[in-house]
Amino acid sequence: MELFCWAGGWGLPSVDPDCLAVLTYARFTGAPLKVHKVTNPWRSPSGCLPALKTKEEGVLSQMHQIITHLRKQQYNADYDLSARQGADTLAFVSLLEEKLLPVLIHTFWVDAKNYVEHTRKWYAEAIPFPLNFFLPNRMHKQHLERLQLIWGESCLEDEEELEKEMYREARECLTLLSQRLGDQKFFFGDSPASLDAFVFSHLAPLLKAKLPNGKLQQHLKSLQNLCDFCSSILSLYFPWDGGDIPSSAPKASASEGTESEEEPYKRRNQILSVLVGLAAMIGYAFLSGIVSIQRGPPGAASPRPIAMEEEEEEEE
Amino acid sequence: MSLVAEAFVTQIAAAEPWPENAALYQQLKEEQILLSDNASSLAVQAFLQMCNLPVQVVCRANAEYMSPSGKVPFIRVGNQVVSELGPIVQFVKAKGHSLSDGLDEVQKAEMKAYMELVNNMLLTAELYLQWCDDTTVEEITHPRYGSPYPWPLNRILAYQKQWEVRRKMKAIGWAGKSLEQVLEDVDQCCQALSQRLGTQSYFFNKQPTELDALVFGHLFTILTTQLTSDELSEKVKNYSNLVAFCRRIEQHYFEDHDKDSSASAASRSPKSYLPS
Repeated sequence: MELFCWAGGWGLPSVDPDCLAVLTYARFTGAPLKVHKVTNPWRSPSGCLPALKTKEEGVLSQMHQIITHLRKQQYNADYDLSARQGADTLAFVSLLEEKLLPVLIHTFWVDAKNYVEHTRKWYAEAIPFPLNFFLPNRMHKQHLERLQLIWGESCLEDEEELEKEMYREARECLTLLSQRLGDQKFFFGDSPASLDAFVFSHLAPLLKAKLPNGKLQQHLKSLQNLCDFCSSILSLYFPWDGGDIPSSAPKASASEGTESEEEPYKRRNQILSVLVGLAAMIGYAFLSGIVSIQRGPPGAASPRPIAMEEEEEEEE
Repeated sequence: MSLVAEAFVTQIAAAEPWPENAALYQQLKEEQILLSDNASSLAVQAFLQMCNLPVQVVCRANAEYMSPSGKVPFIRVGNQVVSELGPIVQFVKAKGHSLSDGLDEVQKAEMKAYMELVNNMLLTAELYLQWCDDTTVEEITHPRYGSPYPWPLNRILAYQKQWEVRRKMKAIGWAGKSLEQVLEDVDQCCQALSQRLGTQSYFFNKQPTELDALVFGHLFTILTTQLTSDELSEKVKNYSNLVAFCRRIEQHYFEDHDKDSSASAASRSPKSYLPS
C-alpha cells in the first residue's frame, strides 16, 4: 500500500491535518505503508492529497475512507475499545469536525495575516514551479468557499460577530477535549486509538505553526495536558521526522538550502523566457518587413513602434 | 453586535420572565414542512416542554425567510427572535432555565459531542435524502417545498434550495456518497446513540437534557414520516431502546399536555402527515 501525502514542515511529519491523521493512525497500528511525501498534489494518483494506492480497491482519497480501508485490512486501533467508547469516538470526531475544523481552516487559510505571512509562504516555497503561482491561491479560494457554505451565506453582514462566535465555540471545544482527556496519556487509557489520531492531527498544526495571529493557538497552549499529549505522540511515534524530512521531496522545508536550489532554476527560467520573447519579437519584426536594416540614416533601422508607424505612413 | 451589546441584551433577556405568548415559527405542517425542518422544530418543542416553558406553534409559509439565520424553527419571546436549538438553549439559560446544570464537566463534554454527532450525521443524512436522492426529490420534496406558492415560483424556490443544499453537500464531502453509504452512516449513528443510552431512561441520569430533546426530535420524525421507502425508519427501528426512548418522551411530554395539541396531532396521525 502506498500513501501519498503532503510533506512535513513546522516540526511535523505533514502539514495537512487529513494527511497527518492517516499517518498517525498508520503509526499507531503498525500498518506497512510506503509513504511518499510530495509537495505537488498533481503527482498523487488521484490528484489530491492524501491518497492511498491499494491493490484491491484502487485509489482512495478521503481520509475517512482510507482509515476504514486500513481497518478492514485488520489494522484496527479501536479493537480494544468497548462499545460505549466506540460511540464516544464517533461523537467526539463529530464535535471536532463541526466545531474545530472550520475554525482551523479559517485560522490557516482565511485569516488575512496568517494566510499571507505563513500559509501561503510555506506552500509557495514548497510547491514546485510553476504550480506555486496559482495553487496556493486556488486552495485558498476552495477553503473560503467551503467555509461560506458551512457557516451560511446569510451571515456575511455580521462576519466579525460570526467569527467571534465561532472562535469562542472552538475554544470551548478545546477546553472540552482537555477535560475529557484529563490526566490520561491517551483518550481511552494507555494505548492510542483512532480518536487520538484525529485529535492529534487537528491540534498539532495549531500548536506547532508559528502563526502571526494566534488567538486560538494561545488558548491551546494554555491547556497543558493537550500540549503534552501532542508532544508525547510526536516524540513516541515520529521521532525522526520532526523537522526536515530525509525522504524524496527535497523542497520539503523552508530552509535556505532549498531556496538557493530553487533560485538558479527559477532565475534561469526567467532569463530564458525573456530572451525567447525578445528573439521572437525581433524575428517577427524582420521577417514581416516592419523593420529592415538599411545602409542609411540610423533612424530608419530603429525597431521602435513610433518610428515604425512613421515608416509605414511614408511607405503608403 | 459587539460583545458588550450582546452581554447587555442577555442581561435584559435575563431580567424579563418568560411571557405567556412566546411563539415558535415553522413552516406549514400539513403541506409544506420537510423531514429535517420538522425534526429540528420538534426538538425545540420537546426542549421547551422539558423546561416547562409554554410556547405556541405558529405555522407560516415563509418561516424560513423570517428567521434571522435562515433556519427554522425560531422562537419569538417578547421582542427577541432566536433561531436554532443551540442559541435557543443559551437564551433559555440566560432566563434562568437549564436542563444541564446538574452535569459535571466530563458529562457536559459528552453531551455536546453527542449533539454534534446527531447534527453531523442524522441531520446531514436527512438533508441528503431530501435533496440529493432523486426519487424523494421528485415525489416529495419539490411538491411540498413550493406548495404555498403559485407556479412558477414554487419550482424556482425548490430548485434554488436544492442547488444550495447540493453545494453544501459537496463542500462537506457527502456528494460522492451513495444512498447505501448514507444509510450505513445513519445506522452507525443510531448504534452509537443506542450504546450510549443503554438501559437508562434518558442519556444522563434520570433527567432529560437538550441532548434527549434533540435525539427525540430527529428519531421521532424519522419513525413517523412516510417517505418513498421505509429504509430510513427501519434503521432506527433496529434499536429497540431508541424506539422505547421516543415513546417514553412522547407520552411524558406531549400527550400529557392538552394545550400542545399541535405536537400531539403530529404524533397521533403520522400517516396523514405526508402524501406518499
